[in-house]
Amino acid sequence: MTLSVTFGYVGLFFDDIFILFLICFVLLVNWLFSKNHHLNNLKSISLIMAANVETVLFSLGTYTARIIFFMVNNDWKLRILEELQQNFIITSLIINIIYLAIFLLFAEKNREKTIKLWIQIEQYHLGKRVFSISFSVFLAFMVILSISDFQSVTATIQAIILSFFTIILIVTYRQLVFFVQTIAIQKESQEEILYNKQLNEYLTSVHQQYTELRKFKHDFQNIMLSMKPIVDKSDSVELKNYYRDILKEQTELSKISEGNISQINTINSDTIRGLIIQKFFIAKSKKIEFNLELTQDSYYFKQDTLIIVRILGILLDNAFEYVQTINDKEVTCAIVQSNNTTEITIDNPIKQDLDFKKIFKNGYTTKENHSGFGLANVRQLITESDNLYLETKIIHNHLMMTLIIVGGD
Amino acid sequence: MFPVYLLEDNSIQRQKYAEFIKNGILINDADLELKSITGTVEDFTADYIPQKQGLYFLDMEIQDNKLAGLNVAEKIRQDSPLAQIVFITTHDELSLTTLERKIAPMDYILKDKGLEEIKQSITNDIELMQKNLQLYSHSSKDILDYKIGSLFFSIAMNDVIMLYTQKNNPGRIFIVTKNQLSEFNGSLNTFEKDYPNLFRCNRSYLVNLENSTTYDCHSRVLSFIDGSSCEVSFRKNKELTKIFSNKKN
Repeated sequence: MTLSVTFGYVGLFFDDIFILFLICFVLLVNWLFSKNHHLNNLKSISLIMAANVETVLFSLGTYTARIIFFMVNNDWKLRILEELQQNFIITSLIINIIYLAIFLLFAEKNREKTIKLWIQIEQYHLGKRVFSISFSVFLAFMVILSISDFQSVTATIQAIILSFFTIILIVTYRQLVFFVQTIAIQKESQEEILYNKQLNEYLTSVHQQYTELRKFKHDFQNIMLSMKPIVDKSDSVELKNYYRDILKEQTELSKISEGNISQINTINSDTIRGLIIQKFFIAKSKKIEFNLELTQDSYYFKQDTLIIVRILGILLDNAFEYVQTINDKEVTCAIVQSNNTTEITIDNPIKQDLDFKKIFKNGYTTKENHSGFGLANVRQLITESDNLYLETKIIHNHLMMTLIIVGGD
Repeated sequence: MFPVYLLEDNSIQRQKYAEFIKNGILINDADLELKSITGTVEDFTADYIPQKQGLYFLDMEIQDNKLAGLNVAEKIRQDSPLAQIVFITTHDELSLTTLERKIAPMDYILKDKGLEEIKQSITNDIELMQKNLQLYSHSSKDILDYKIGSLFFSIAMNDVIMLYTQKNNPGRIFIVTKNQLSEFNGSLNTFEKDYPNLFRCNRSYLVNLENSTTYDCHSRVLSFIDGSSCEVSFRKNKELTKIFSNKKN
């Protein structure tokens, strides 16, 4: 940037075309000295954009200075400028710097966006395209300036051409930003689809393993049962002890039939399934036992899935947060669906001494609930939609929060 | 006398449990009678007469049908919302949270825990049942019903603390009971008419005075057993003061 600004001032004393040559020269040097004769796209783009911006600002500065001089002398003739050449150059430089400062302030304000844009350009290999667009804009600009110089077009017409060109320049840059963002969104969604595919494959394989394990467990139980009479008849104490030990193992084995993430495919909604999978992994990383009770073959969610996801997210987070403070780190999510009515229950154990009345107070004092502002948000979301209902229940030392969804056709 | 049912397909276990139940009734001097001991769903259905109150001990898996007990329980729950259901089952047959939503059983007794513990649990459940029976016997209208979508909910009147509405949520009633807070669509006027035992203490509150603790007639604040409270309208103050002074005498 500073480089181009310096050259910008030098250019003041030469012709406009000088800048074009300069930029091309810099690019050429860059290209010759870089490895494999490869242009550094980002640097080139910055250079060209800076040159573009500076040329526009400089022209604007010059014209503003001219207008000021005309108005001060109340005489609209170019001759004045020649008479006061020294003053005029200084004034136009000062105005140029002011414009530059304003531009830099503006750029500084949008720094984060710009950085994000750069990262996107780099990430999605859009450098060449952006470079060619900005370079052709710059080239066109230069050509117009030079031709108007050679042909000695009147200042008024040049001013009009310049201001239109400035507008076109702004629009082009805006379009460029939009283009980059669109590409970024497209790429991101492509990546997400790939990720989902991988996840689904993973889940299918987990499901297969799980089914095999279940089958094995079933066989194992049958074998144990059929062995029992033989063991009973036998006199060997050792055998009996051994049998009892294996029986103990069996209770360990029985744990595998508990809620399993592999049943997640019974949920038809991508967003809800995604949320549950995400929370499943979070629970795993926090060493929370997260059980899923999906006993039906399929669950259909037609509407409101975004609101449902938000509510479920909060309820699950609350449950995770709470069980981390107690020994029994267990959270269950059960879904029961029948006749267009769906019940999603989040269940976690609560300590006996928890003052559960406080949770309910949320309903009519709005002051308190057991884990901060989350429940208030849930309340808000439910109030906003007609077909959602929340039930909070404490039973057998478990807190069960059930979201009831009525609807569909 | 209220009936007790036992459904268990294993004959040895069935005998044992029947014995425990009879003992439990004796120990608690409960107003209960072991009316039916069956081993198959068909036999159970033949014996079964729907009744408002009853205690049911059910095995979950009957003759290789893993859901037999659950189906029976769903039928019982439909017929009588107040029936007390106890599952006697092995641990891995359970989806506890789902079961809680569908049946809301009084207890789960795990078979793997051993006979002594099963016996203790059965005795405890009978004791709890006896207590419940005493509580419900003096309520005029003993169940409050409401509906969400296609689901019917029943709450024992004894558990109801209050129903209320909120200005920002018209048409929706919130219900507070001893252990839950729920919501459904309806109008308080209908409930006031249908359940005359409930007291309308202001425009948006319908309360169960049986679960109230104190009333301050100067600040007009009515308090309840769960620590909650509500304001009583000026108009209803006199009426409520009268009820409370009668209650004391």
